[in-house]
Amino acid sequence: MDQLFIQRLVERDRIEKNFSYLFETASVKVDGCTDKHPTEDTIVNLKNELLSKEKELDQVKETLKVQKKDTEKLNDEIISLNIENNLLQERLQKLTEEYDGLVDRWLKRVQGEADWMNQTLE
Amino acid sequence: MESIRRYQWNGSLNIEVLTDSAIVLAGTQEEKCRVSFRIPRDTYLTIYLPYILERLEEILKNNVTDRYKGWWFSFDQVPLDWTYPIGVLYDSLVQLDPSFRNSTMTSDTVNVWKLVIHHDEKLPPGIIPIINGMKQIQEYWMHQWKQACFVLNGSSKQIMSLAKADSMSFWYSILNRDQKTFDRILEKILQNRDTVKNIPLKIHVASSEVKLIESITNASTYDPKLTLNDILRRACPQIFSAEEPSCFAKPIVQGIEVPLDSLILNLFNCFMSFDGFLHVSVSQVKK
Repeated sequence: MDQLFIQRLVERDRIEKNFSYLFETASVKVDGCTDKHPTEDTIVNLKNELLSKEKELDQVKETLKVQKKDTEKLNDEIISLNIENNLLQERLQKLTEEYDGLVDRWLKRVQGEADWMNQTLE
Repeated sequence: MESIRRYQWNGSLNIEVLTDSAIVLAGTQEEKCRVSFRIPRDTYLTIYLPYILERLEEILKNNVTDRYKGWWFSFDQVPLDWTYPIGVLYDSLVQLDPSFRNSTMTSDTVNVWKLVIHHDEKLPPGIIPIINGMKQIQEYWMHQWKQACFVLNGSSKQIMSLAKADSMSFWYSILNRDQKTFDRILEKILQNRDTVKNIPLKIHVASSEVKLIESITNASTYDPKLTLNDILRRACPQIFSAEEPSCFAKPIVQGIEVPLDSLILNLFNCFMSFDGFLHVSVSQVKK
């Protein structure tokens, strides 16, 4: 059995290690930090800048989203107020007409009464 | 058996890691987003995260603040569970069929496993976050050993009573690929290999359609005459039916197909992984 295993392991390695010299052997880095070249500082700073700008962008996007919602709300409000306004206008017009009619009728009546009084006096 | 252990310890995989375009600086050439390397089959891929990130750092959009937290790998859009040895993940997810691979192999074929590296604050479901770097990986590995030791001996005393220096050397032998030290400490843990209570075994079942590893661990009474076939028939009866031997499912251990009539103890002694378990990947080969 062991011979079979060895034969198969050799076969596995023949395939998996073919051209393996083209692949660098990975090493383990136990401590967290790496040696940074001084010229890399600019890149590090720029990447930090990028990160902060990305965060800023996200915040701006969020604000924009909220504002957009507010605008929509406001628009809805305007539309509903407009409708209310239109209805009130209609009612106003109706009432004005009614009022004018009443005034006319009253004037006519008073005129009639005045005419009658004048006639009686004469 | 010594030479089998040596082959097993020295088995390696060629890996190519491509960086997820979401974390790469705009306008970076595609070939710069790749890193190729070779790592042992019997190790966790996450151990090599600092090595990989060091090579990819300059093309990344953001600075690498933590070399473990928020990083994960995927294969065919399936996130890799770092808690399994990389060789096991390869055998299971690729659905390795050694005899088919042998038949298609030519002298200029290069065997490379292509993975993608991702980073996000939110990890995909099922991936254990690494918040404490290498220490967490070491602790996870130690817990695996405690479990394995318990299954083997009925108690974790052997691993718990290791001297601090020994347990550190045990871990460093994995990092430095020092088989001699590893075997020396292994001998202390597995003093009576022939009188084990049970075998710590993990069976990984994945299918070519659904690339998801399902690990089966079933407690059963151990018998020294137990073969792999007995266990597989018990653990996955739908694949290894008792009536007819399954012609499309193959048990793969450390990248090779093992006969179903192998004694489980013998397999464990030959192919035990660095975490104390014997990992068997069930490769479901199409008819």
